[in-house]
Amino acid sequence: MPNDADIFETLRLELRRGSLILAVLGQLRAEHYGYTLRKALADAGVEIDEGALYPMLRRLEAQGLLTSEWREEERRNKRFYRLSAEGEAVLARLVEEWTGLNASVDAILRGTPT
Amino acid sequence: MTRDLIDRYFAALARELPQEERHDIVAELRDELMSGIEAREQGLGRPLAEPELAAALGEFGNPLVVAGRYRKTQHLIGPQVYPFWWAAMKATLVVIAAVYVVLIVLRLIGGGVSLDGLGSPVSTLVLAFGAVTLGFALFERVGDPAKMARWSPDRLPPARGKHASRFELLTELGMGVVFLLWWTGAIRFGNVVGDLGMQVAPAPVWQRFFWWIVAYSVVEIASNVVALLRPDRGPLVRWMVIWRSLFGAAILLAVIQAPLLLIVTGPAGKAQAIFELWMRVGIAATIAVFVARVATEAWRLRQDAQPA
Repeated sequence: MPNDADIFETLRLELRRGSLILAVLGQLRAEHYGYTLRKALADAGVEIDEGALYPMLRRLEAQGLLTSEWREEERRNKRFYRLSAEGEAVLARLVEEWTGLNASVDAILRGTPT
Repeated sequence: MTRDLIDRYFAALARELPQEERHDIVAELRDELMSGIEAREQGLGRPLAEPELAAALGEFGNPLVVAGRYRKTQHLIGPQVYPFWWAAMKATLVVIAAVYVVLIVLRLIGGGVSLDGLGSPVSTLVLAFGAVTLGFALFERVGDPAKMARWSPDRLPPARGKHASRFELLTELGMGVVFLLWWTGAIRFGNVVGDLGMQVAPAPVWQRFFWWIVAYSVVEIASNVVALLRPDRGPLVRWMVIWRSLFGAAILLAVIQAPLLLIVTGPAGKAQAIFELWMRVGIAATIAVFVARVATEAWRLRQDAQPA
């Protein structure tokens, strides 16, 4: 039987799941490779483990939202990702959605539903 | 040694990845791991010891789990298909259970059922579970799962009205399947009259109607399956019951014309006549049941058609 901590953790993960994609897309307006992307996200307060990040990057690239290229840096080959033109358009729409949803949820939580 | 551990880790990971992406994914993940290790070594001012490296790999994740995240499919039966899989699974398991319950009851009342043609209940249930799951898993991958969820409120069964209960339908279905299995020779019953030194066998007339009886039995099972799965198709089910009952009565009317229905061999002289009589009474009663069923269903059809 799940205890309160398990239930909270499950809900927290569900809540974070959608917003992680937004954070990754937003961060990739500047070029990053996986490790620096994860560091940049962590510095901004969004922790994401590598097991979730790399498959997500491949999926977003397959969907045409990211482009990538292999380049050598610091003596090793690294795969650099960046938001594609299509990715920028999708991100703009997602940000609009996010802002609207955030405002609505915020209003509900403050007890002043619009 | 440390390099060996890392190589072993990525070799294990690579084995779980699709061939065409393997090299790319491993190179990227190796870079991630090495960047992390180098950052920690820089912080500590010394190379990581073997246990520390093992701990870092442990944190990186089980190769099966890490590789699994790259798979397009993350489940066998997804949430979209799951409610339909569960409904089909329940129906299948209940029908199988009903068949075995009928067989067990027959065995208890002295039918001497031989289940040579069927597996044990456990193996049949496991096989059915596997077959249903496989069917839905395939449908989810090559079919159109969204189509499954489409529905029309018109298909909802009426809230009121006289309908056969699920128990009634399942019992009929179970008995229908048992009958078909027995008729086609998949299961056998022992000598129901006990060890009285005589044998009872069906007369050739039954062989002449073998396929007619198989057809009747299939229609009966089908009408019960339709009644179970589509409770909204009340009129269709009633028509199926009416036609199959007429069909059943017609078969039995033809059979009863035969001079011999059973062949009884043994020392008991009067046995043949007694069995013949029982058989004829039984068949006549069954014909009467068919006719009564036709009348009941036709009457219910009329009632259903009238406004409430």
